[in-house]
Amino acid sequence: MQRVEPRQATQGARELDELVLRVGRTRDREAFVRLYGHFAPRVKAYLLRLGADDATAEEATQETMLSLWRRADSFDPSQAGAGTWVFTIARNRRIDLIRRERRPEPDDGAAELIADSAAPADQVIAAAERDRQVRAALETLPKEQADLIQMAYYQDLTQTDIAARTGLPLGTVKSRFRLAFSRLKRVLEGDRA
Amino acid sequence: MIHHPSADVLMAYAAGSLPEPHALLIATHLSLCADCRDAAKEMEAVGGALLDRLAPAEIAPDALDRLLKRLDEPAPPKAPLPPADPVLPAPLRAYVGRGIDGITWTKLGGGVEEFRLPIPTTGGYATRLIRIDAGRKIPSHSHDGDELTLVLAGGFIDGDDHYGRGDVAGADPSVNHHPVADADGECICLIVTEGKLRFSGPLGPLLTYFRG
Repeated sequence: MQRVEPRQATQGARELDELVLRVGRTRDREAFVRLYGHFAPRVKAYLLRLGADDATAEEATQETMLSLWRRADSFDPSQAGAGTWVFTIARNRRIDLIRRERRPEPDDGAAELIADSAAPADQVIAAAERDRQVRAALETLPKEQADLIQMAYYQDLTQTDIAARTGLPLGTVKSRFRLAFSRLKRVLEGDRA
Repeated sequence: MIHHPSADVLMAYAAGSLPEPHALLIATHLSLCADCRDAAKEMEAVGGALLDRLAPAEIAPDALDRLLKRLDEPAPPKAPLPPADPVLPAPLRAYVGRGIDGITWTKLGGGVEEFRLPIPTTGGYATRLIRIDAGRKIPSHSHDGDELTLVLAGGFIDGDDHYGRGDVAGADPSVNHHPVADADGECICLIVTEGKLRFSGPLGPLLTYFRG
């Protein structure tokens, strides 16, 4: 029997995965409380960054955490780490509750994939490894590229909007994005070899 | 599959900032394309990493207790999905509500039919399935805004490029293009258009009138 540690603000990625699995397997409320302690303040910060007022951000955070509780049995750490998985839930709840739109998603299964589109098996990357590499790659981005990525995720802006907001020419925004992508991609692919 | 969505569109999908019609088109492409699905997962991992780096916000002290009381509430039922379909991948079936054979098409003339998807047109977007007879030309047209096309069945040629099932074609406002459906069968596409289509061929003004 694992001893439940006092609630912490930050926990390791593997430990978070394990907590979600425990919620999924045994509806473990103590595990859920610890996940809440880690994720709820970050999800709320994310919603505030995207322009929600405090009450709306608070409500959408509650709904995100409720979805985490309900869907924990479908969490698959080989597909995405807990942090990435919670990000997708928060993103989708925000689209649903704040933008009032539906969020279309592909099926997880492979049934509909076109046969020639699959990545070679030796290039398929484990989720935990991908999360680690993405984090490392983000750290190495020059500030001007990292800022653009932040705007894409936190301000709901298209490249055209970002150009208007920053006063940069659209071509400059596009080329900085391309640089940031290729850098992220190079780090990800380089580590795969 | 040769033509994929650009990295910035995939990132906007992963970030959750794409408008619903474009998100539907990308989700449909991801149903068919393992490579792009993998790329989208990487971009979701970027979202996860950024979430982790945010300074935590303050949560109301009683929020956790209120939430714990709700954990036993029953979850809302999921809408059932129409059964598998050779043309319409899952995300699209969820919107159309039936398979490709159940669609009631509206004739546009010239061997072209359309079905408008029930997505609110806020933002001035039109989302439609287009069915083109084998070998027929889509009337020459340009747009006020960007256009995004995903091939679902058959294929077409636009200029030097061929597009088949799963391929994504983007056209910006400056492009005046006239795709031609393959000769060996009908072509069905999902098309998201921003702004009004303007047909510039001889039937142009008439078609623009009907579709505006």
